[in-house]
Amino acid sequence: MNVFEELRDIFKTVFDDEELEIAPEMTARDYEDWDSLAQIRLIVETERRFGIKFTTQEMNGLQNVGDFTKLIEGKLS
Amino acid sequence: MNTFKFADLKIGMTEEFHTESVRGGAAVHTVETDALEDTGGEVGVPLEISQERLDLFRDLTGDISPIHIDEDYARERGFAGRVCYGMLTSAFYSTLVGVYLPGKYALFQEAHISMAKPVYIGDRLSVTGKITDLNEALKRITIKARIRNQRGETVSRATLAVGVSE
Repeated sequence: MNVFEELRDIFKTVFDDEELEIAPEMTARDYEDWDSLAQIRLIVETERRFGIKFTTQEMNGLQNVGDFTKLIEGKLS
Repeated sequence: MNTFKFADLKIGMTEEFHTESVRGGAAVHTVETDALEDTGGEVGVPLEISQERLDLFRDLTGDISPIHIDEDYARERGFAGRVCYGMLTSAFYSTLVGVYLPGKYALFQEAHISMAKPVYIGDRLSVTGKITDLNEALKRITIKARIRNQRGETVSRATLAVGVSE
């Protein structure tokens, strides 16, 4: 499974934006609709798709999409 | 009002409350918190839709669509009378979340609603909600909710997401 590709699909679903492209260095400041509620929806949808669970500490440590990708990969390995 | 915090909540937890509205009058409610009974994890809130409530909703929102305010027009469209605003019926999900499940410490985040059948003046509704998921890290619960009329028909279904204080 390509985690980054799946994550891109999750972003498109959550933001209902088929044109949305993500990059490892992307943060919430780079996308207007990426607010606190969207962040919750991203987490929930990612947990559902990958069948994993995050802790509060893990979520608080995330800086960008790249961090998120690595966190998911770590949980799947 | 309930005051459940996140740690108090469980999937399928059981609570029930009754609310009565007065026909033809203002939205007067009495809450009987001593009338608890096991309903398999759901909360029930009987309510009656009054003409006054439709008119208040019209004034509040400016939605003057004739299907809601013109009896003859609604009948021409094949309905039994003025159709209650779907968002008025849906507003009781706010009551469910903010007062009953979980109550005081709720922050209503999302609602996905299907308006399944028309609601009419005089209909008595009951709102039920059942916790189906708890997200520990996000302190967020998912509620499957349903609104039924006095004949037991489902007039609205919803999935609600609610943040809850620790």
